[in-house]
Amino acid sequence: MYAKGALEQARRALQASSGSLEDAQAVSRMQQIARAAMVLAERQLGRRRAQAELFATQRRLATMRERATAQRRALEALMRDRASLARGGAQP
Amino acid sequence: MTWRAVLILWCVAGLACAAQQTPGTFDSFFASPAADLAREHAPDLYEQARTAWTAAEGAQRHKDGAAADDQRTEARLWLTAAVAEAERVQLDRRRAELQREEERWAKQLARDQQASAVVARDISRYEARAVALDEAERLSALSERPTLNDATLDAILTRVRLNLALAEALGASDEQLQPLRERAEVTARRRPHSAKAAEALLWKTEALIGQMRAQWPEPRPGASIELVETALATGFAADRMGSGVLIRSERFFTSNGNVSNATVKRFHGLLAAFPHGPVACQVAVPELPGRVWAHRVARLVERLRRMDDPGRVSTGMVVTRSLSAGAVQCTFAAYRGL
Repeated sequence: MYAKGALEQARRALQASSGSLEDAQAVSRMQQIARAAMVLAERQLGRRRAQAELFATQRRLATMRERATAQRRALEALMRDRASLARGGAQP
Repeated sequence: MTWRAVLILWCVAGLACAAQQTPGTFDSFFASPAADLAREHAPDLYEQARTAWTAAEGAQRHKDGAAADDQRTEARLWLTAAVAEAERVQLDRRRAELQREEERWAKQLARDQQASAVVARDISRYEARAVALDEAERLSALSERPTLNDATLDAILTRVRLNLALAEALGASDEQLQPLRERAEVTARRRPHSAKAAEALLWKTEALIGQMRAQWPEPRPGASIELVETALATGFAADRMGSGVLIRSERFFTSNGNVSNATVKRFHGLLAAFPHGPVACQVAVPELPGRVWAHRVARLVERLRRMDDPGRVSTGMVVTRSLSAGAVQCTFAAYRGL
């Protein structure tokens, strides 16, 4: 799991808050820590998703660039052929 | 992008360690490139971190070590979340840039594919035209040479087979087709050096197509295109005009002014293959034509009339500078607008 550390920290904070019910301020601080840890886990997952999408886009771009370059080379070869035929005197 | 990601990760690791190991100062915690990026791209989370850090400093001043530790931990978590968010924003921006680049490449690819198709079609047309010109050249020179080479014989046999297939499609019977098929097979096997037999076979197949077409009361749709193609393949220039199909040739007269047997034969073949309607021919003559041109045209008229329907072709002279002297153009009027 990608955000395992943050989630573990949230779990520990919630556990600690339930174990010190006599100190209301400590409970509140533990709950704040748990909330911050949950938000961190959420943002880490968001970053992970963004990274995966970026890598997929990079792969697609590389493929597209390769195809476009190959097509451009094919077009240039065709144009050379046509120019050569035109120089040979045949009319379309 | 990569260096920035590494820097951010390094800073995040540094922040986490600094927060866990020592209390540190505000500057050591918030004054870093990663924190700057977090403030820019995730201001809400960054503000949460600052608030928690301020509370930790307050607790430290009140000598409440446990509260200070908890609030520094909270501040560290908020700031790390802010940094993660900032990195996500930057990754998304980079992805958007790459997507725009991908779209540019895709557009180029689509344009090039379209252009390649156009150029490939052009090349096909060039090649088809070159083959047709080659064939036309061979067929048009047929009667002018007593012998024929292998390439010319192959061109004739190809044309014969195409004509037989067309005649069959137009309704020719096996009785009509079989003798011509057998002659084509014999010609292909024996490969005669004389042009006469091959040429006669070719015109027979053209005439058979003409017989089939003659059964129709008028030319069928598409007949004008067939007429143009057949004329081009047999060495004439041809165009579809408003008044019909116009056939032109500068080879009706030889260089010494005699009527060309080869061209007249080919023209008769064309007339037989396209039997509908009158054909009006004009012979281009120089200004102030003398008796020489009058005699030449008279000889041509006499030769053109040596056919089954002598009245079908009418021939006149026209004084023009747009055609060279001796050029003949004939309009197949029934093949208008088809």
